[in-house]
Amino acid sequence: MGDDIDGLIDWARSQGWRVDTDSKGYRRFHKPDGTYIVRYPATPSNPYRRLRDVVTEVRTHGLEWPKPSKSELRARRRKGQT
Amino acid sequence: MNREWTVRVVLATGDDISDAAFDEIADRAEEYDATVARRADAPGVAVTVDLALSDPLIAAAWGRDWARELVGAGTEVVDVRVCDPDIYEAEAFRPDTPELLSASDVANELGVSRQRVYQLQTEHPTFPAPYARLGTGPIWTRPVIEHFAQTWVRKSGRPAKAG
Repeated sequence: MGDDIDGLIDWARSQGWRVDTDSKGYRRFHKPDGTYIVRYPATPSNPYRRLRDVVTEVRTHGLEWPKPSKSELRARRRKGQT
Repeated sequence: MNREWTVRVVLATGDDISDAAFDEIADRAEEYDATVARRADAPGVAVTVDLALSDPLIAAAWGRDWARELVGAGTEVVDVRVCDPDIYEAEAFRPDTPELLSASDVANELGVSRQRVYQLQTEHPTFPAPYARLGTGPIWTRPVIEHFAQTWVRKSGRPAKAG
């Protein structure tokens, strides 16, 4: 988990979701039952907002969103994000 | 004066949408850098778009009409939400679960031993009840422990013997 798409993909996969990349570079998120839910562009014009939208949608479909780990919180504090 | 609004429109479709049809809708939505997702629990889609307009109601109406046109005929708008992008973002990343602390974590927070935590749990009248009990022991949420730490009046030395 984290503040970027790779962190979200890692977290989703760890929870049984499938994320694959299509021929145009879209990352396609599939629920554990195989249903294709949402995609993330290869080069979004606003990556953070797209990430926000994808997080909202995968959570709507049941992906739990945990508290950041202690190491992530420490990293954010170092970057001045919290 | 215009400002940004995030609009999320949920549309019901009579039938399930194929993956290919879903991608076609999402391709068309790229014009506005919008995100299209499958609706949860029923056939349909959710469309999220950021708009710079003067008023949230105008943004909601524009988003509703555009999403309906995007997805096509035979759809019904079942939900429209409009809010400040910062609020939408905060909600997107708000954790489902609070930060949880083990007895060992609580001991660190309070600056006492783990044994003292168990003692407080059984003896102190305002020590918070555990959020849950796992096989490894009780766990608490951080806010209640922080509140206890702020209000706990520590008494130095051993407690006086009764009698």
